[in-house]
Amino acid sequence: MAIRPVNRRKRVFHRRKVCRFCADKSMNIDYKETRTLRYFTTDRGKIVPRRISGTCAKHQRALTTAIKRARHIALMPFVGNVPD
Amino acid sequence: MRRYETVFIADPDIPEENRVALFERLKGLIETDENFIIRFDEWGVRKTAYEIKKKKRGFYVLAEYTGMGDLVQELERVMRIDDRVLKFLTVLKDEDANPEAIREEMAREEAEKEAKELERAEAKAAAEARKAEAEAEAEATAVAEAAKAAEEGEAVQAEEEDSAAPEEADASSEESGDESETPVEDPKE
Ligand SMILES: [Zn+2]
Repeated sequence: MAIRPVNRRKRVFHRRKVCRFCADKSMNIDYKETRTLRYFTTDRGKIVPRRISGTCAKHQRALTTAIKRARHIALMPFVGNVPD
Repeated sequence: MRRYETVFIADPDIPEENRVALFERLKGLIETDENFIIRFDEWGVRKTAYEIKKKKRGFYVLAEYTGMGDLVQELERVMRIDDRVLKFLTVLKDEDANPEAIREEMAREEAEKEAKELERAEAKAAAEARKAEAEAEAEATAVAEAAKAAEEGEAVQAEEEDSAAPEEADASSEESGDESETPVEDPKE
């Protein structure tokens, strides 16, 4: 009973992250600043879900918009590796 | 009055005068009696994240301007037709922009830019002056050293001629001295 797999799993994934944009007010979300945005995408170009990145709902919404804009103007890829 | 920002990608493979003509045309569309360009930043040729019209690179431009929706519609209509423009994106930055405040902001930015440029020019001039001074100094020391070396060289030559025989004698005497000392030092090691 004491060593239930649920317990263990919880410990492994327990990463209490705070939203990086709330923690650092100087960081802003702009579709032109791909260096910041790249941090919130996987190496395949997918947007990292906020359950992984810890971004708050408000900033995740802004991030999603910015990443989609950056994709539209070809500053970031829709799929595939992010070119350096 | 609204404030918009448009990033567009111009064909990187067209001749420069053609590109300049395109930019002038778009600028002309924006600038009217009430609308004005806040900035027109040419980022230059960059690699695009994916191919657009079979091209892997694009000439990026960021234009910020004031206007209303009809201007954006006209601008986008022209860019859509013009095949020198590969892609564009317009973002509304401020729904209720104050033209006076924007002009003030532009003047401030311009002044800052000028101040920075002046500073850079001064720093460059100072660095050049320092460099010239250092070079002159280095040259002077080099000349002095060369003169000294020439003097010393003459002296050494003279000395070498004198001491050629005695040095050999010294060396043999030292060798014999070492041999006599070795038994004493060995146990320590
Ligand atoms: Zn946040």
